[in-house]
Amino acid sequence: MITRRYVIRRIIYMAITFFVAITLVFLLPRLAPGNPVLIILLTKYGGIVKPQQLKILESELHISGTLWQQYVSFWISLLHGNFGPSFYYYPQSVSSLIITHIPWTFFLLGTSTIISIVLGVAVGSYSGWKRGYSDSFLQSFSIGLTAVPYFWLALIFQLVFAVLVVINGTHILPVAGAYGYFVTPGFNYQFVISLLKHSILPLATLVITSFPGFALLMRNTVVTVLDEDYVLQAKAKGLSLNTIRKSYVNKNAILPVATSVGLAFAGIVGGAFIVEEVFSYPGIGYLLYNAVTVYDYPLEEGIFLIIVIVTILANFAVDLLYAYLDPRVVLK
Amino acid sequence: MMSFPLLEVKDISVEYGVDGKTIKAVSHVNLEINKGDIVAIVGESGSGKSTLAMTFLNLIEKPGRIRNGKVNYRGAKGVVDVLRMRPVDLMRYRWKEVSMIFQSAMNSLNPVMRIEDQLKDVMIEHGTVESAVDAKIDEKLKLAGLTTSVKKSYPHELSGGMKQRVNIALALACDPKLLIADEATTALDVVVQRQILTRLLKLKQDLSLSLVFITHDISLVANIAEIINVMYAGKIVERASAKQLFGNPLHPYTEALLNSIPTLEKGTAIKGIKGTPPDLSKEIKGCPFADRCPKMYDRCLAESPELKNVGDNHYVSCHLY
Ligand SMILES: Nc1ncnc2c1ncn2[C@@H]1O[C@H](COP(=O)(O)OP(=O)(O)O)[C@@H](O)[C@H]1O
Ligand code: SF4
Ligand SMILES: [Mg+2]
Repeated sequence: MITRRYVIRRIIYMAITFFVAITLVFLLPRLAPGNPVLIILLTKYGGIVKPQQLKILESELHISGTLWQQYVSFWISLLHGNFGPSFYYYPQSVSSLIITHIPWTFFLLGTSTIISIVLGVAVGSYSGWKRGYSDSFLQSFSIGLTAVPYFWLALIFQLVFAVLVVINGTHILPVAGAYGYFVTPGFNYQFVISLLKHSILPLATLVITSFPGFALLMRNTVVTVLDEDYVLQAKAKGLSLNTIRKSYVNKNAILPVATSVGLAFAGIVGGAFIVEEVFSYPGIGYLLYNAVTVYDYPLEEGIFLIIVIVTILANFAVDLLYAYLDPRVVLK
Repeated sequence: MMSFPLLEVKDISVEYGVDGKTIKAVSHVNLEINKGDIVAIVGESGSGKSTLAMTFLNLIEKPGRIRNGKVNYRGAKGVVDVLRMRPVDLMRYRWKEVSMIFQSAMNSLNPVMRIEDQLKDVMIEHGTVESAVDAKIDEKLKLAGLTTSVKKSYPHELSGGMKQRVNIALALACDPKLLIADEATTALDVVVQRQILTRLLKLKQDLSLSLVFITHDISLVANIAEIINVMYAGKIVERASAKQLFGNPLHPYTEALLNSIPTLEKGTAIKGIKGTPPDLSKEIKGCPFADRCPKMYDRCLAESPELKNVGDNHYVSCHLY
């Protein structure tokens, strides 16, 4: 049950969290050493600049004046939905950069999270229900896989499927990027196929590293739920095993898994970023990595803010979902 | 007229294997339940009442196992052994022929399903047509003394007494011939206990049910049951009509149980039975009640007494008779 009061309070909390996060996002890169303006000028203009040019650049990038003035002007542009221009990709704006890259991340993150949850729940439920041999196998397999870092698996996959193994003179899968060089983006057959091919390795890396956690949790809760009195009563009622499994076991066992999705989300985002970097997948993780290496403050700020907003909203969504799944939960 | 038993338990034994030990929870029990009977099973906690009742539905699960015996049920197609039914037949038998209110009734409802859905699934499974379900749900809830508004509730929104009534409604969902009520009133306060008891008896009358009433509290069954079975350490040690059992208890354990009922004269101080029941994981030589029995003599330690008819269908398992 969800009361309106709860939703209002939650929104206020989220607003406060945003405020704090925005302030941190503003402060953190400015406290790091190095002068971004000089870096831009050195890389883009070979270091030959007049002091006036420096001033113009600084003011346009909100890094002139005292920290306080910077902070105020930062807020003002933020409220206009304007993160300013990027240092590195100047004169492209941060907003436009994020808007062009974020769909890739949403695609990677959304698809892999959904596959991981569905796969984890299915495998865990089966294994907890059957016990015995397949169960012990799943347990060791899952625990082993949970210990594998994303980047390591990503590199192995890349090496094996896109570099080492060659069939009929071509590699099985592309090594990097989101789609092939020679296809035109749009709703055409070649593009879609290329898109899918390029997404296989990044998705596989993410799914394989995150589904075992869900599977293991699901398996354990299924085992616990099977001992519950309501499951015994369901058997006494002469219900089919299928009904017992669906309505009595899984419906209850899935609740802790739903909670864990909220907790795991930040980790999955981190994983997706690493995977984007390894596969040069053009999402905001890849963009962020580039932004950090070239001290692109405005871009970093913009991306961090998006991450914060998405994470907080995702947690809110998970809480609402949980209240929907478990009638005993009262959010008020 | 000779009446054939509706359910006949023959020489049933059940054990639980835990930590390498074997607990003999039920040993060689015989029991008959006739159509329309109210049969009580009483005994201290741990005497094997629930385990015995579970065999009526072939519900013993790991770590338990049925060692030997039969549970013969007289259905429309003649007598069948419930313990050797094909899985599909067992599914049809459960709840349709015999249903149960579990001892753990407070936790027997699925917390994430509405009451109506928990009634509906079993009705559909046992052949009620979709269009008739709603009316039937209302009917069963009313029979159990509930208003139909609880349909939309989840279990956690109901009080203990209401949950127990939902369990009664559930047990009646498929119009069974036999209803087992295992400690159906134990978790409830006295007033609600009375109401539930009265309700069960009325239902038994109105629906011509057979009823197995299980309780650790012998004082509850005095005015209810026609036949009372006293269980001790996995065995039935005395069986008699309520009148005989209360008027002329034979087994020393039954006497002790009756003496432990608080009365106005004796005061309300609870007088338990001295000593503890035997460890069921150990071999018991002689009478299982021997070390607590005030009338114990040498034969009791050497030889295990059999349940025998001492006249007028009064059965007792004690060397004194
Ligand atoms: N699931 C179980 N696992 C292990 N031992 C059990 C289990 N259920 C019951 N027992 C044991 O079997 C004996 C009889 O228990 P039970 O049938 O519940 O008795 P009652 O219903 O008379 O209290 C007890 O000693 C109990 O410890
Ligand atoms: S057989 Fe002996 S020990 Fe057992 S109840 Fe009878 S008198 Fe007591
Ligand atoms: Mg019991």
